[in-house]
Amino acid sequence: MSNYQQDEEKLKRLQTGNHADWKQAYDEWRAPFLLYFHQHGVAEREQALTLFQDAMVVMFHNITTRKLDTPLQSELRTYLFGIGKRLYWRSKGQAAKAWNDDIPETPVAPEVEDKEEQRHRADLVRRLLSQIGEPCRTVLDMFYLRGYSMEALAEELELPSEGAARKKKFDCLKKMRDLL
Amino acid sequence: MPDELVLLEQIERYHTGVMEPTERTEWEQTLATDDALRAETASFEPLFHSWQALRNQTFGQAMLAWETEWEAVEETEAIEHWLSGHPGHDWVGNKAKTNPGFASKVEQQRQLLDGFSAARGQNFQKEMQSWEDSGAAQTPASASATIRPMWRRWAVAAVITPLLIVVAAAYWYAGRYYSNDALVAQFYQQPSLGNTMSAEAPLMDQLTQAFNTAHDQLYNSHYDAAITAFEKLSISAKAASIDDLSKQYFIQNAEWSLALAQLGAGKSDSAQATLRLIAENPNHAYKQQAIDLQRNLQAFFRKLAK
Repeated sequence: MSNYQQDEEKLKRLQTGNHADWKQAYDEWRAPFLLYFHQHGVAEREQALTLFQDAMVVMFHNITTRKLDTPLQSELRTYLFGIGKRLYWRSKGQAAKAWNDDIPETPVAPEVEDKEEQRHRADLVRRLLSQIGEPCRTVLDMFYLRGYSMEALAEELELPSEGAARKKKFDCLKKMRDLL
Repeated sequence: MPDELVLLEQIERYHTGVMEPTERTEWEQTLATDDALRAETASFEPLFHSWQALRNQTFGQAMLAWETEWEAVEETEAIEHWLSGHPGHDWVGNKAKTNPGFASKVEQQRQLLDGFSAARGQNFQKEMQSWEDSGAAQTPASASATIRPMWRRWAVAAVITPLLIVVAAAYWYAGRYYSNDALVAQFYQQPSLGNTMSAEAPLMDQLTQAFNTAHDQLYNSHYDAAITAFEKLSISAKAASIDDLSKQYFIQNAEWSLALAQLGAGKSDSAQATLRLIAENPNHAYKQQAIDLQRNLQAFFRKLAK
């Protein structure tokens, strides 16, 4: 039995990318994160806040792409603090200093850390979406950005079945790929 | 060879990291020997990675909205601390001197705190009176016999007066913070109004203009006009060929603002129905605000405010 059962249940919910669950996590982790970094010398509130949001984006990426999965080796909060540590020391251009705590630094994929690269990729999808036309735009937006399940997608778009929704989604993806 | 749909789903699972380790190993072994599959898999890689980047970016934008809520909470807490004389919040006083909108918030909060303080005082007074009464009840009957009628009258007055003050304070509080206008003011946050230029500029400009006009009506408490404006905006945004993120923003903001306008206009049933739609939509950006407002509409003080 895992030592982090509650966090693993939370992780499963967060993996869907549902923003309501993430909002809950944001509200839960925000104050402890700011306090932790304040205690370690990040005095400026704005700087700590930016660090928190950057760490949360990495956390979101790692969880929704299953880079972080069960069984957990630490609490989710500890993992987030580890990301923050990594980003903080990277921004200082130094290797992490030994802060007097048990929080290990969490590795961060370079492409996620590279905001310019992320922006470039996001813009690419936006551009393709504007070219692809309806109903593909709606289908892909609902599935990838708003976290609709196939069943919900079929119901919302009045498609005959979940299978029809899956088919539609992949037709649209192929169309998008061909535009690349 | 699996059918195309299954194959594409496997490619997606591979690129998005959700493939189980054993399946992944097998998949990579197949890729090593199947040129066509390798090419097909590679052709989707930039697309799936770009989708994830857009999801990350959308998440980042959502966090900015959540942070706005936190800013409001922290500002309220800072004002309370400053009003209570806690050190380290001098910026509140300085900001109030230069920002009339902020000064008005501080003043409202001062009145609220004063109201609570007065109510606390009344409660304590009432409690002291009850101690006094119980003490008096224990005194010998012969000593109190001659003054009992007058004592009773004073005791009744002493109990009733604070109660009347508390009741009056409760009605004052309810009217001030739970009336339609007060709730709209509490929950309404005027978005930054401006012009948006984009690839779909003319259409976008029309929507932005309609959006600004509707918010002007709501901001100036012209609730009936705001209801019409937000209903029209919602219909226009749904039909507009604009990017989905902007469309979603216009529609969801129009729905939430419509609920506030309906509440302001005293159309409580319509407002409740609109709030229900928002609160039951797990992907609605204003879901939490709708739930909070629903809670306020069910509150005890709301009933007093009616």
